[in-house]
Amino acid sequence: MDINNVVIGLRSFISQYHTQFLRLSRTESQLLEIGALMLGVEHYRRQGFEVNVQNKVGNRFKLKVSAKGKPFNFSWYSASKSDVNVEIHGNLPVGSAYGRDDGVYVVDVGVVEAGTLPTKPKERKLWRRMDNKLVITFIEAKKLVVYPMLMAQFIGMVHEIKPSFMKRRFECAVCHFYPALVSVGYLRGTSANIREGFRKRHFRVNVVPTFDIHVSRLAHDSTAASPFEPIQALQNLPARLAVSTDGPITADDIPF
Amino acid sequence: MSLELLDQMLEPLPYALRDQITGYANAIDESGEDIFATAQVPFDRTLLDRVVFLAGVCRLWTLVDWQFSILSNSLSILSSSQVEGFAIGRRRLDRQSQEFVDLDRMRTELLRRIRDLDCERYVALRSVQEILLLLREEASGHQ
Repeated sequence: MDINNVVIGLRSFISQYHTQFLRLSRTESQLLEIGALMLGVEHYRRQGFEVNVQNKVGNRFKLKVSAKGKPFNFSWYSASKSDVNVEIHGNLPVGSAYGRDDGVYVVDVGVVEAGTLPTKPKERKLWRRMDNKLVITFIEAKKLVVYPMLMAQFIGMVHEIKPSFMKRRFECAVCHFYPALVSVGYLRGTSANIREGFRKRHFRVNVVPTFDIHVSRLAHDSTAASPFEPIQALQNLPARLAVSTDGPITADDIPF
Repeated sequence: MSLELLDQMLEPLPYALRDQITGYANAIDESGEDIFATAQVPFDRTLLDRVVFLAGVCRLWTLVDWQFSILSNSLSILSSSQVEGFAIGRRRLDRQSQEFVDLDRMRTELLRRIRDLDCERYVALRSVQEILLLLREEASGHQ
């Protein structure tokens, strides 16, 4: 390999495809969110949920790609299995868990209790955010390498949006995934140790690097497992039993 | 030296993308000694220069490849719900859309160019350490 040839060859390629690269720089955050949404959808499909697109426009999924707009004006996925019914939305504004600060956080993918969006015009006009109590879990997608401060920021989000996942004792049906940080980058430096530290402290979170590879696997292999915890081996447990995935079930893991 | 060559190569790239690649390459350059230590390879400035440059090439490939991969695979998943594509504002994204066709073509052409430039074996690797180890192996093979 001659480095000077590589410089010349790739520089000319970049010049030739300049318009395409411009488009890439504008669309990369949208594609990240599309990928994250699909991961969420496939997680439920692989838990045996019946998954359907709601509010289609023609035969297309109308994607919400920014904080602007209200979710009922876009498409979303519904997922149902026995008495568990959820909706999976892109760029969903959700209220803070604290509640008294009127805080609103827009999550890249939000999983919420089904049928809770307003249907009447007057209610829709007044709608500002999803009530925190109706939010089950969420996904944040980043194009970055997973570095320690990114993980700390994500833990901050979980703390403000669904802090119950940070508690040693918590209640959540095992079919749902823990709040997830997904990235097309890899775990850098001490990030792998930090992720292990989250587990040891019973933080129920997912940190999934190179998630594009998981999207590819899920698209092409109907038997591939969701990359999210709780892991599938636990799915035979009673639906309302919350469990830790990093050791035997203890009394602390049993909900109130 | 490698960073200058990388800058020269990436100069026509839009700033946001160029910054991602050069920032990544700079981070590797700064943590070079750690990377060598982790890979248990004696530090060698010339070898690090090549690692940094090739890491930049890999990053350029990844930028194109992950966007295509996510879009293509997401469309496959969407089709299992009998939906033909995405609508984003007035944009339509499906396998027939110009955006998808262009991205597919660009990815194919970039891979072909990388292959012609004898770099394909590096972009197939998953980490900087692997690039380092392969370069070292190649260097020892040439001696």
